[in-house]
Amino acid sequence: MKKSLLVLLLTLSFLKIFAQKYTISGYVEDLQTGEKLISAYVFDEVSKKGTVTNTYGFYSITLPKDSVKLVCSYLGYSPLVKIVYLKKNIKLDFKLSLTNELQEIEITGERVEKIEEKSQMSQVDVPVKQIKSLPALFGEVDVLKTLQLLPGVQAGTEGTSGLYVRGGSPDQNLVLLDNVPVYNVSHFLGIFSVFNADALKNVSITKGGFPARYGGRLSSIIDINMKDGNMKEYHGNGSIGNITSKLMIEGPVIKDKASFIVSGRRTYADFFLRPLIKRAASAEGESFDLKLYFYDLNAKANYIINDKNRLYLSFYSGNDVFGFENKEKYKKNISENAGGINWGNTILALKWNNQINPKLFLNSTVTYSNFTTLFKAEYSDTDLENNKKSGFYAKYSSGIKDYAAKMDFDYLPLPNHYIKFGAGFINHTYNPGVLNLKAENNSFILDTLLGYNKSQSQEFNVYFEDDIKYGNLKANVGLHFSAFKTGKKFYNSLQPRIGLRYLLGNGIALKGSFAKMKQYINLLTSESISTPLDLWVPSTDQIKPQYSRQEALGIAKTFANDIEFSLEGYYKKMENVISYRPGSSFLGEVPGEIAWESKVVQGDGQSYGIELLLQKKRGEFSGWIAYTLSWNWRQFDEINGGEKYPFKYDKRHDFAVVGTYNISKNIVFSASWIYSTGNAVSIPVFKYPYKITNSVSGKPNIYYEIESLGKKNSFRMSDSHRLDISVEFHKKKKKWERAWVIGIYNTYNHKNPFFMISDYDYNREKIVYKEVSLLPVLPFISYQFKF
Amino acid sequence: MKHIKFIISLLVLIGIFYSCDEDSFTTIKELKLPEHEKKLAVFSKIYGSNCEIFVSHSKSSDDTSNYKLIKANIILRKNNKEFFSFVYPDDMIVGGFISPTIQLPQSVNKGEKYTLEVISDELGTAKASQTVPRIPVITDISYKEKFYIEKYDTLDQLEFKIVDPGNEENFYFFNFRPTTYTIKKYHLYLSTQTDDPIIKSTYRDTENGFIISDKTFDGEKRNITMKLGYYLNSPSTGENVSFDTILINIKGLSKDYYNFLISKIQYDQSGENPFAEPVNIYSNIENGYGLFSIENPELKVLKLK
Repeated sequence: MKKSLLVLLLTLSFLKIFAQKYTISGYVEDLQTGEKLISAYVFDEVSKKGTVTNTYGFYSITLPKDSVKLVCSYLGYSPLVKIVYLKKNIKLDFKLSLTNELQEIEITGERVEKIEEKSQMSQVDVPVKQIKSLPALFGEVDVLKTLQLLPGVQAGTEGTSGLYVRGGSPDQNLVLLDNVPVYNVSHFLGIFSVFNADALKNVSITKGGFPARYGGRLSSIIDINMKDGNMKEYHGNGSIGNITSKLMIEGPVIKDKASFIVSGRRTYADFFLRPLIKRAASAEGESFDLKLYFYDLNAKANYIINDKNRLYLSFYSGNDVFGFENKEKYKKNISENAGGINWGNTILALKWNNQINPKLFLNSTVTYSNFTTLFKAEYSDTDLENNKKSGFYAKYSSGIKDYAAKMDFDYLPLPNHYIKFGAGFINHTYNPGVLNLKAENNSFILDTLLGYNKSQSQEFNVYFEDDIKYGNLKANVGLHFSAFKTGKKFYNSLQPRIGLRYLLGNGIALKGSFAKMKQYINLLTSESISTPLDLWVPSTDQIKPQYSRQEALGIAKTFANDIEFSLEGYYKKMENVISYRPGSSFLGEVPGEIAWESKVVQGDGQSYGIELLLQKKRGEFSGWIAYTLSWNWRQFDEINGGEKYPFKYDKRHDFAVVGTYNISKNIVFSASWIYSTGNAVSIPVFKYPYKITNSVSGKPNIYYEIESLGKKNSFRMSDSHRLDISVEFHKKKKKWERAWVIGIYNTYNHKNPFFMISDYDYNREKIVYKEVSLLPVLPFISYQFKF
Repeated sequence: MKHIKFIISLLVLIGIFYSCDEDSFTTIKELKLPEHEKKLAVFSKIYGSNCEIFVSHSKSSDDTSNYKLIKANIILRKNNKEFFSFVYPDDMIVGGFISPTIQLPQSVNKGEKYTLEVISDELGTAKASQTVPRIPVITDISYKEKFYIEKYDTLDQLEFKIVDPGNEENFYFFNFRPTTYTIKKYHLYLSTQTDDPIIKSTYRDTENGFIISDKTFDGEKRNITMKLGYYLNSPSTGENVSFDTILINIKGLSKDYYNFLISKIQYDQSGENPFAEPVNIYSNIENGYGLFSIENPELKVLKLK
């Protein structure tokens, strides 16, 4: 009897716990455009429970049967409040309106998920609107260069888009465009990035405390999502700038059911230069043609099948083209030569969103990503008298191609748990550099193929993570398992991930994180210079996967509901990082070896530091201050005698101040000032003779001298600092808007070093070292329009 | 916006003003090189009963003074016992010139360990040790005239096998020479090529030879196939040019010598390749820089007629 009563009581308690809770789920979107809003905050003021929307704008919250007062808020939008009496599972969408940008929004209490609320640390979201308002090189808004202004993220060399995150190299950044990895992220040798900000919805960077759903890279996750396209009306915008012109058009295919967005960007200097160059060459009796441009094309379509199912199709294609053709005609012969280099990415992604039930959301994705580089050079000489032709032709190609599929589940059983789990598969195909040579003249014919065979590898991963809240403690704990098959070699790795947040008094949060990461593909890049001829190669039986372990500790707080402060310290240990062997590059082989693996050495890396970020996101004035103090080391047995040495991009201090101020309704002023310690370099410090000719009286004639570098990277280039400013003048017309953007890059013309060379100074009669800078003061102007 | 023309003009002027300077893009960086401690620079090679040597010194990269030869006592020890000694460069002066080589009392033999000591009052003592490598064994030598007949060229084929003993590291160098290379007023130039991807990357212009390690054929026979072509340095007047023997010169190298040669090829190549990682040339001299090496050559005479 007692047992039966106990069972009944337990059953009733169990039923009480689960029977009286219902789930509210739905989407948060922009009222005017229908764009789904990522990480919008949905909070119940009655139970004090909240949640955020996922990448597709979906949210789900399970609450007790009762009245609920849901407040939905998102940066730059007016909050929306809905009161319902919860007595069953319901679907509830929120459609938010943009706020008046000049108006300070009074946001109180828990209506916005503040930085101290999140268990995730080492992550920064940068609003696309802010990226677009910052002054930029040649007036070209650049997502990656904006990320370089954040703490813990450093630029490589001045003016380039490379990202060195907490001591890691660029290949250790997983750059995702609509969930598809992008292998080459820059145009014009790194001067511009491939991302057209007009087509983007949001950008975030995670530098540590990586959630379990991410894997495959050691140092950062840069998650970039494209806009879906306006579901309601046709709109567009465009610009004409110093270097490129852009146009974006979006609109409904079927109103509130299907939409599209297309945006393109192209440089146009060659349109003007080519006819001029051709004419000038023609006047000299020559024929000369020059091609120099890049373009990006983004396109996306989405279709709402029903309220539980939605399809997306994303496409990106971008290419850099540099080429020339020259023909000179003489009395007895014609000489022709041509050359060029092309590189670019193509990306395709098909996604299906399926809300299985109010608590379970599934996203399935299949993707294609292809990066190729092609270099060509040819020369021919035609003997008109004898009708004979001789010549030389070289073509070099390299690249990487991925086919991938994945499934990601979001499961929200209770307000205190946000569970994500899923699995993915990638097939990589590598072309690590093939050189096709042909030559023909009177005495020989050459036709040969040099380089490395294509190879494939397969990568598989599965993960589970849970974001748990318990009182003042919030934790994101997870496991990521990955496996990699390459040739006959099989690697696998179990990677624990944990992020903790404990809310202290006065709204201060103490945060900590730990993450192990594994990386199976590597980018062979020279420390001297990064080029599109850098090679993506797999781990093999000789080249082990890279590995990292990172710990971080920090505090975070929001002041005056608007100013976010965070201070973090981190330590990162890396193993099996790769570098070219001394004397090696993508060109040629190591003497006596044939495999590309012989060009590479593996070693360890170590980086640690402190980062500070003070960020204001709303109001007439917005911006941030970022400071990083860091150390960054590498150690390879074959380099520097096996002793550890400073990584080339070991910058002790890195500081940025960024601000945007709305002077009036139509005028916006932006400025950024950056400062960083100079890059580490190696220079010859001593020399000795190798070969001498016979001589008398002790004075040898040296005909060969060996220079030696001494300790690697033991010198520093000069520190860099730079001020960029811009002003936007907006004007609203009847049916469209226009803006003039005028600014100056490197306003006070500081010569920030790009590289260093040695030279003999005849005046001083000694060898001097010169720092060469690339980018002097550069004014820019662009005309933008919106309709 | 009524001021926009003024603003644009001002920006353009700023750009022109600052950008027109000749030195807009360079700054001289005053770098203080660390104080360099001069050390002995020693290059010495023993082959047969010959010892090549020169002794000089290192200096700071920004030092434009001349190098000089360093007077030193040279002691060569065989298996830890003093074998030969002389004063450099005094004992090497012949006919008013400093000879690059000095004769040893006897030839070196496989397995013997030699230590070179260079004792200088000025720069202290530098030292290095080497073990004499084995004499390479080559077999199955064949020669086929006019074997590769291509559209514009005809090349002969020379094939042979290197027999490698297992369980030890061995390194080889080989080149070729027709014994009659000056015929009347012509100079006969022998070109050597190969399609072998491992060997051809090790070609050294200075000796027209190739280097190989036994990493890929330890304990086995390694086939070497060469394409040989003959060119005259002077225009032909129609006289027949022929020769009847080829010298195959193959040497066993010590590991240090092999590492030095490979690093030197890379050093030379990196000077022309802006993308290459910088190279420090291999050195095995203790308390100094340079190389002490021992070769053990084998000369095979291949009679063609």
